[in-house]
Amino acid sequence: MSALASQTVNDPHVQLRRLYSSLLEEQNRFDEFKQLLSLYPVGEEDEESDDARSVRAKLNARINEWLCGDFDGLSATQVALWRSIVVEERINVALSPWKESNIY
Amino acid sequence: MNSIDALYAGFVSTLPPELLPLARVLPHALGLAPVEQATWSEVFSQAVTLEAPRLIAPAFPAVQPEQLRSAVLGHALSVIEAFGTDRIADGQVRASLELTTLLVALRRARDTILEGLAPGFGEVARAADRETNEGILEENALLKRLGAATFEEYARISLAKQAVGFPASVALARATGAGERVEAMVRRALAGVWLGLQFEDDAIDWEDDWRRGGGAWAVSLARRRLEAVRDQRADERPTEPDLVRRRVHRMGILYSMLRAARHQYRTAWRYARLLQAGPLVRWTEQRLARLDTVIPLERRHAGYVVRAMKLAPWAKEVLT
Repeated sequence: MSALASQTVNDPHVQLRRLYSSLLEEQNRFDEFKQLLSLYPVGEEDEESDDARSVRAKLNARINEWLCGDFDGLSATQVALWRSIVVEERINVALSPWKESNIY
Repeated sequence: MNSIDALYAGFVSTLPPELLPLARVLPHALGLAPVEQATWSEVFSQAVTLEAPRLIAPAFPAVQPEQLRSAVLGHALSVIEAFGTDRIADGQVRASLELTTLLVALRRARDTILEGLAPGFGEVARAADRETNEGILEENALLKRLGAATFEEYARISLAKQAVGFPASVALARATGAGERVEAMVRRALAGVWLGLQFEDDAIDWEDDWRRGGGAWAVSLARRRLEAVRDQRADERPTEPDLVRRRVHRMGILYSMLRAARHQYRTAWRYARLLQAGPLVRWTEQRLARLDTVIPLERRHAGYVVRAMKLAPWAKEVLT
């Protein structure tokens, strides 16, 4: 592998893009990703609990399989962000005269 | 202040004092915005929704600024009122006396404005209200019983639902002496806009619609397509979410809905170009370009457009 290719694979931004694409392209992956995120406990404490760490490890292992091993892993902050968007659907977007607005 | 917000504020200032508090927070009261301070320009991502006459106005060289303001406000009040009535009808918003009184005030103001712009258009707008309400009722009845629907039925009912989106722009054409041929082109351009938005949105949002329990067009269209494939009635009515989704995906329904949206935008673009309505030409070109990107992806990866919508906030936050 060339130095440039290796650098690209290790780029966290590129890795997230690849994860994003893989979720868009496969419903089963998206469902499993969402299901694992829903198991991730979000507490008041700053420190990640053992349970949460275990779920995150499982999630990262699955992503690593989907991306054929080129994934460094999601941090606790990243998992919490994904969870709030994908599971809790805190933010929603859409478009027509009847529904194009955000619905809260 | 955005022009639509300024126009709405002008309307609010004409209301009796007891309606002012609700009128000022109406986007929030109708469940369309997260905070009371939200303005109408912040609610909708497409300017055409509340300001269609402004995008089409360059088609009428004789238009006066005051005529354009009247048409835009008349259109916006129609759409806002229809939103309110729809929200009450489907139970998302409680029909308080204050809200129903405010909706009556919106209708009356709209009627007066359009009548002043082009005599007879107050009644045209009221007829459009009725057509929209009938369209909504027909849609609710069909989707709730999980009825099978063809794309022709879908287009017919959707167009009826969008009836309130036409009178103000046609009144503007009439007021500027545009003639019947131009009025017909305005209707065709706007039909393409409203149906395009409706089809696109119904494809993107179908899982949410389904989850709310009122049925979804994607499901009814899939049911009809399944009947056509099997050459028999699809009596089974799957309610298990994954099964429903699999059927919608397998039948390529979302792909077909996006193609139908593209066809409508293309029609809108053609008529907007004939009318020389530059802003509407540009708007439709943007929608077409977006769909030209999304449609092949939906074809290859069924459900792509729904997942893209669900991940859009994250992508915007992290990937841009």
